[in-house]
Amino acid sequence: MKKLFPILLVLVLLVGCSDATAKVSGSSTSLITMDGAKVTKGQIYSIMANQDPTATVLQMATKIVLNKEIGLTDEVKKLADAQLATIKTSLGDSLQTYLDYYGYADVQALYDENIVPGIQQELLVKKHVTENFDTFAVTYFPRKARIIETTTEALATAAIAEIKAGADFGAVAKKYSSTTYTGAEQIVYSATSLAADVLTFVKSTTVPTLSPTAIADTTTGKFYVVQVTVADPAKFKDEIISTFATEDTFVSLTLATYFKSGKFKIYDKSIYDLFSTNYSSYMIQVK
Amino acid sequence: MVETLKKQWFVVLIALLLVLTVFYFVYDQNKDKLPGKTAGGKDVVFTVDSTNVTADELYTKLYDSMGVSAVYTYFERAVVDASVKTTADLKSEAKLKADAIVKNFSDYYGADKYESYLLSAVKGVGYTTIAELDTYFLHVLKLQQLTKAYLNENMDKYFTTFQAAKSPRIVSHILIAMDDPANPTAEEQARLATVKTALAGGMDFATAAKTYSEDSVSAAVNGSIGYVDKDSSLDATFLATSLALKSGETSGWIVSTYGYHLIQVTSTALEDLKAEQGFYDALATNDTTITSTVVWNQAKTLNVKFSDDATKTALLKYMGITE
Repeated sequence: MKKLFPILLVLVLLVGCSDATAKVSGSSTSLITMDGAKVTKGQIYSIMANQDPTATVLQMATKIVLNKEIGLTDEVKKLADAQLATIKTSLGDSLQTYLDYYGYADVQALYDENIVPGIQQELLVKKHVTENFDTFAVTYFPRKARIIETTTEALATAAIAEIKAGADFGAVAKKYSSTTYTGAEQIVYSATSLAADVLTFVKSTTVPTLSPTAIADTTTGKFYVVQVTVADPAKFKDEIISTFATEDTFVSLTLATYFKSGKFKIYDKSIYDLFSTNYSSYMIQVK
Repeated sequence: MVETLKKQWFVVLIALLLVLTVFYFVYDQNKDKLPGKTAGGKDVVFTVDSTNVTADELYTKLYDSMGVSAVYTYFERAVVDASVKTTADLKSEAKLKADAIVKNFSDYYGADKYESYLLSAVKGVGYTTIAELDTYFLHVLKLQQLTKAYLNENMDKYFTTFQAAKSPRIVSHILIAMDDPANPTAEEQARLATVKTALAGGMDFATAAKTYSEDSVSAAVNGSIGYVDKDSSLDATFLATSLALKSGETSGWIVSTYGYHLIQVTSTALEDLKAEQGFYDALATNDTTITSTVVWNQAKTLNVKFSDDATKTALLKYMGITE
């Protein structure tokens, strides 16, 4: 009974506990001293942590995930070596300037901190897209298509008539289309920057189809002729995977998945808040 | 013991309830708090794939990219603070400046939203809370004081280059305000004529500004808008005219969005420029080695010592100082 009160007192004091803040060790160590003032390690940490460190946190966490999921395999080394060789050749004498500009101490640092993680990330995204190919093919509806852009509906209608009559799509594009759209075959999917109605048409196709009428973009006043050449994603799976592997949408989607399966958890309140704002899709943690 | 408890069952019950309440209270207060973690005696910032990343590791990583500028920020603050005494005057001047900034932000972004913008501005200059704005301006004022003293001693070294590059001068104007400056009304034309007649009749520019200018702020100080140079943020025509005039010359009417202006360059002489804080600020902005030199010279008088040579080398390189 005598011990009960101290215990209760401790418990009540615990109520005062606040959200966690991670502190650097030796925070009172002086980096600089002078008469009447000093600069400590803790001050430097707090000022750096105040300038939104979440991009660095993301980078550090990504590196851990990539090393676990992909690692430094022979394949990674081979690809990284090839990329380094290309960089060296293309930069020539300006290699050192490049390293200084991006803040790499030497070629090894560039290799370890930039080239290898880049390759590992691409491989991981490819792996993730491959594993989820069927789902992604439905959600993001990749197709191969050719597109012509005209300024009037009449021009678009004329272009459709000529294509139907057997004219070559590229030749018709040259005759009617704006320079942005050459009529060349390209991979189109939900995130491609195209008019909403063009994407709706593309999504609706299950077999190669030519748009029967001109598709209008009401916001820009332009008209489009679209020919879906390959409507079955399974027929160009490898091309889709390579395209998706470097797209931001799939990079974040992949990393978010592995952050979640890796039980990513933050133990510092201000970093937690900033991270929740900047990269919410990477988090499953609810405090 | 048991007998006593049995007899006092009601007291025991109350005690038990009390204990449970306290437990629940503690749980309730803490359930929304973010928990911390330590590993091997070090604070952990995050974990992923069972790997702990500590604050020490984050410090090292952040230090690579922004350590030197962080060190400089605190170094400058420490040096300036140890060099200039905080007086009551400085304190109240800093407070005025801080209040003015808060008002500016509040007017611009709205009273309900301005705080987050102001906070990121405060963080941008290396402070944590809006309450620290006073401290920030106190620092700015102290640094201005040190810089002014240094420049007054070493003006020969900087002035000629600066003058050639930026055309520093002190400018006054008379404004006749108009709603549509492109089409002055007869009444507005008459106000223009009044000013011209007064000047032609021998009234000096300062008196005319005081009497007729419709820019109340500058009219109160003989039309002076103070320090102007090539980088001043003024209406383009106004600035171009101000820079084209020689000392003592007055322009003809020029048109801005505010109305019609007559501009006079009051002086381009160094002695007069020295009365303007804007002149010293412009010198320091134009040549960033000035602030670095001021800070480093002061640091040496304070027996500055570094924990290691790498910190010193990196800091001096960042400041552009060669020993």
